Amino acid sequence: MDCRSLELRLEALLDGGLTGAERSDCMAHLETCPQCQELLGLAATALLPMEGANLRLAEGILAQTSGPTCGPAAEQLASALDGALDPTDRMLLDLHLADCAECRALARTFELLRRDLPRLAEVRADSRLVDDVLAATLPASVRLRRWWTTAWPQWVRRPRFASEAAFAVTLALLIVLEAGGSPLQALSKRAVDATRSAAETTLQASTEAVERRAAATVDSVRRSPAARLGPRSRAFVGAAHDRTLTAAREVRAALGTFWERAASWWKSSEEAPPPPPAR
Amino acid sequence: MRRHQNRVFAIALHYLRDREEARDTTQEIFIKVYRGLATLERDRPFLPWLLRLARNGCIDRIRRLKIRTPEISVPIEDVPGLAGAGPSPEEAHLGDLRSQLLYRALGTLPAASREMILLKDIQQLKLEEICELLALPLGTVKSRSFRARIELAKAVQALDPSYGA
Repeated sequence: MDCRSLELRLEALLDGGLTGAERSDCMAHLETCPQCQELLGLAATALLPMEGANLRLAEGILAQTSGPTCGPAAEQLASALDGALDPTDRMLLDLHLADCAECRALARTFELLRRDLPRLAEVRADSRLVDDVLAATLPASVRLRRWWTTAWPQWVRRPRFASEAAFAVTLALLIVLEAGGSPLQALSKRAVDATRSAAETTLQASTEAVERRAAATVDSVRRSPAARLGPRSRAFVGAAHDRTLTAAREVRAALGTFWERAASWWKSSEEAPPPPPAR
Repeated sequence: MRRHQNRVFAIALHYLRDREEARDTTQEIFIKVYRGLATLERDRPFLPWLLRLARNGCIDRIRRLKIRTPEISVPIEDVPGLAGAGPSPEEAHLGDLRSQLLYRALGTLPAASREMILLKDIQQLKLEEICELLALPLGTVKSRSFRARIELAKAVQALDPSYGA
């Protein structure tokens, strides 16, 4: 027997699985070969119970060298999907899978995922997507023309279009007339000034007309035949004349006061936030 | 556009997880594609460029909406129909159920893992393309991809133990 033959039978020798003749041959070789004696000693030591750190160390070494346990096996299964596993790792992985039902299920799941996941690469978009993108990428002039011929008539026919248009026009006028820097900014003030001037003129003319009319009425009464009726009638007409003039002056004074208040409010509203008009 | 619209729509759906938002985002992406075609170098492949635009468009949209993609599973009725033709009605039905399961499982993954599955296993990009797209080193992309696959496999098994059994 040579060293190679003994190495092949070493495990059986330690397990007591050799026949009598084989065992005798092995023992005869061992007596003459120091290397095989040393090998047998090491093998026998490995079979002795190990304690604490030695045992954990041995498990760690075995986990790294004798095929993957479940954690590394899952990583190798994941990398195997890309075909990135070398033949040795593949062989060790297969050895592990042969004994581990959990990892076999994981391997089948990975295979199904490899088949099913690419089917999610495309999801049917709706048929109008292309049209919408094409419409959005058309030149602005073409888009405006299309809108004018299609969308605008429908937009105008809506019931609330009138109120929306009125609001928009009012807003536009306010912006044009009141915005800072607008050439039309003073237009509204000029319009109010013109109205005020016209009101003052009208008020003056109206009160003067009332006074003239009252005086003419009194004068005509005095010259009428009724004036010859007696002193009581003349006194009545005189009193009516005085009351009319007084009423005209009061009306004029009241309108003047009102206008002064209005002018004062207008002036203050131009300088500061408008206070409520004084009563 | 007709050739790639379903792919871009699928990517938008994965990021946004809302069909209407995905549709609007897909439209925006293709408008950007149309306007950016002149900037695409002639010798550069179109698809990675398109996918980069799609991813950036989706992320911009999410930022604008200030939304987060839901961490819970998507309701089955919200899962859209899948593109492609070929399988028989029975196969299509089974395939659709599997797809719904995958959508639900993907919904339970962290966003980074979901993105890795989307790019590597769904859109089938090469590792180098993903590195460029995400600006990550090759080793990081590999390890993230493997980890994401394990997470997805375990999520699928948890949702349906018969898958792979």
